[in-house]
Amino acid sequence: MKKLSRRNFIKLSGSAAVASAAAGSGLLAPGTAAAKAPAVARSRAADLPKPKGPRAVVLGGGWAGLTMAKYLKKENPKLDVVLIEKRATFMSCPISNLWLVDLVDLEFLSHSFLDAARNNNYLFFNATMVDLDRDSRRIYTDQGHLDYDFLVLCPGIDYNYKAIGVEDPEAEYKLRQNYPAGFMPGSEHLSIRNKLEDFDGGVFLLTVPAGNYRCLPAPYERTCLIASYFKKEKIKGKVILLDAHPDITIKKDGFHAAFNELYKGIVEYKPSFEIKHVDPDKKVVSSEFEDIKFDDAAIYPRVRGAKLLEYLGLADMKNPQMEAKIDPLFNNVVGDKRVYVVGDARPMPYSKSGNTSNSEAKNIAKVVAARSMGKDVTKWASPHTVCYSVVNMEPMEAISVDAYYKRNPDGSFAFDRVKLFEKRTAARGQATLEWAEGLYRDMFS
Amino acid sequence: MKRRTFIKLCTSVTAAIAANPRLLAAAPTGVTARNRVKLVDAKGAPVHPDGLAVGQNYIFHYPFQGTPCFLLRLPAGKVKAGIPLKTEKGEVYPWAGGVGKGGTVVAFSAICTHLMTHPTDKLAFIHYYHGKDSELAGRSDVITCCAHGSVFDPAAGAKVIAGPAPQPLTAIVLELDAKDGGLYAVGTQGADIYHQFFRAFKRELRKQFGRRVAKREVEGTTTLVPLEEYTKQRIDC
Repeated sequence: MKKLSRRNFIKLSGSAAVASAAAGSGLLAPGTAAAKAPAVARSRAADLPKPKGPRAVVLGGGWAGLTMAKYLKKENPKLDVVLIEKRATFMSCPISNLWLVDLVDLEFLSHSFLDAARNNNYLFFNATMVDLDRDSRRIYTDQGHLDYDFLVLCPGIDYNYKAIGVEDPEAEYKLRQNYPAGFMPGSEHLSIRNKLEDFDGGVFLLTVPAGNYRCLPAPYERTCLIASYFKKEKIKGKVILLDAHPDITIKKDGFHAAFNELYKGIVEYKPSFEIKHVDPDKKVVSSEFEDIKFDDAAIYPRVRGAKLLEYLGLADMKNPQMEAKIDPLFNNVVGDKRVYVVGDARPMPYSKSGNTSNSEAKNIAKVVAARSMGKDVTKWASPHTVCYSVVNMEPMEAISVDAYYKRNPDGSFAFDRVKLFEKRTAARGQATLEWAEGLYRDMFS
Repeated sequence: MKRRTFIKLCTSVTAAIAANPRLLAAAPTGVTARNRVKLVDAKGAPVHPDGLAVGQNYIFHYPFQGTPCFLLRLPAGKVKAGIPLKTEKGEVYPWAGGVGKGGTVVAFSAICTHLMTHPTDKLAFIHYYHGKDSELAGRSDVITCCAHGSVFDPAAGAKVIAGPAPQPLTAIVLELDAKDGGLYAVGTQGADIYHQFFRAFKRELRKQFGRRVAKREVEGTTTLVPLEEYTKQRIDC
């Protein structure tokens, strides 16, 4: 860790003074570096060991970040890698639908960041990032600041409730707390599991958001599993799935088959349902044409890039997805080859899934490692999407998709080499678990 | 390693280099010589190439008691011994090939080089397809790992032909004994992922083999078992 030199200190106090003066006069827009300087001046260096080589900091310990930290170290062992994560325990979003209905236990989803860091020779720093100064290459956290040579931001997603007509913060927080989406693991998932266990009958409502949302098949898988759970527990319930899209977004034949053959009378699928308003008190979701009443729900609003990126000025706020402004081939922030965004906050239309993030992170780790050694990677490599969806509990049966991406001459991306396996089988049900265990091994052992 | 095998290997290496002069630049990884272990059947008798069924998956453990391998008798005329292969680290090695008539009896570590999925006593997600297609590979005569979709060509040293695996399956070097004519495993070639494997599967290996057994080197003999007997459930994809 760099010591604060006298000159830097003076520079800092100087800019802090300027900032408070400017803030007082209202001259500076909030979010500019100088306006944030007072917090900067108060910060002290994080209590981390001195870097033993060029420091690569990875922000966010999800599937992208964990893979990134491991493979950065693997690709260039001279890098001193630090993974910053605000949670103390990892809980997996992939496979969490299975846990909601008790097909796996919580141990299956929970993993230790300490194991991941120990086994792969990097540092786990349990802290929350609060600010970034790309000029001095310094990250500020609630546990002090640290300097980087390379920074990979893997902040994931946030929810956008305004996109489903919920403008009022009071209504939004009622939705967040009473009917959580369950796509950012932790309390949301625990809450949904409790809801299912306590559900006595009636309508359980789920939604599929517009745009590119986290885990395309997950809302359909969840629909199947909740319906399967109702059947098993003999709950007189119905699952209504409101889909913003005109049809199931992926593996549609496999899901339609499950809806029709296994869950007739239990699942009601309503495509092209554009949510215009939600009333959490009356428990009503409305489109322009129809009001749907529910007894309980997990309402998945539109997905956007993590708000952190917006705050750091790295998000494309003109796009409704509000994702990172980065080079679409190598993921660096435009004009800054020291800062990267990887994982679900990317703007490329890849599937926002665990396997995609894992494979993307391996590709980008090669790019960052090469650049850290004064070399470069010139060829774009496609991420790989492997995604199983369990559609039945007893027996546990799944469908799957295996796909890559290609770049069109106009620069847009499309699916490539897509293999769909839409006939539900018990073999694929077993493979679902092995798929997950393989990736947990990759990240944690 | 026996002198004869060594000479044979050198010959195939020379042939491979002649076919691909770039190999000279990168020194071949060659073979890691390990215990010379006799393959035996359930009755303890030596295993002869002619007694193996074409297309059947056989499992044996080598070089460690907890590391499963495939023994396969491939259809004749397809085996590309000496083909240059590359590890994840960029080391090039010419595949030692198989033994028996036409070199059709080949062996590979059954641990997927992607994320180490391997056949256990309960489940086999990775195995060889013959006489029926692997749906995922869209063809037969391949080793497919159903967990993440890696496909290997056993006739080409288990080279990766599709999916995320970064390197071929580790080859097991076989030889035929001059006296009993039986199969022996003598070494490995290519990827060395055993250390990672033992770390990642410590708990599972303890359950299947007992405490501290899996890491022990195999000595003397190793038993060959058809996959269907080794595992409760073979998963096809």
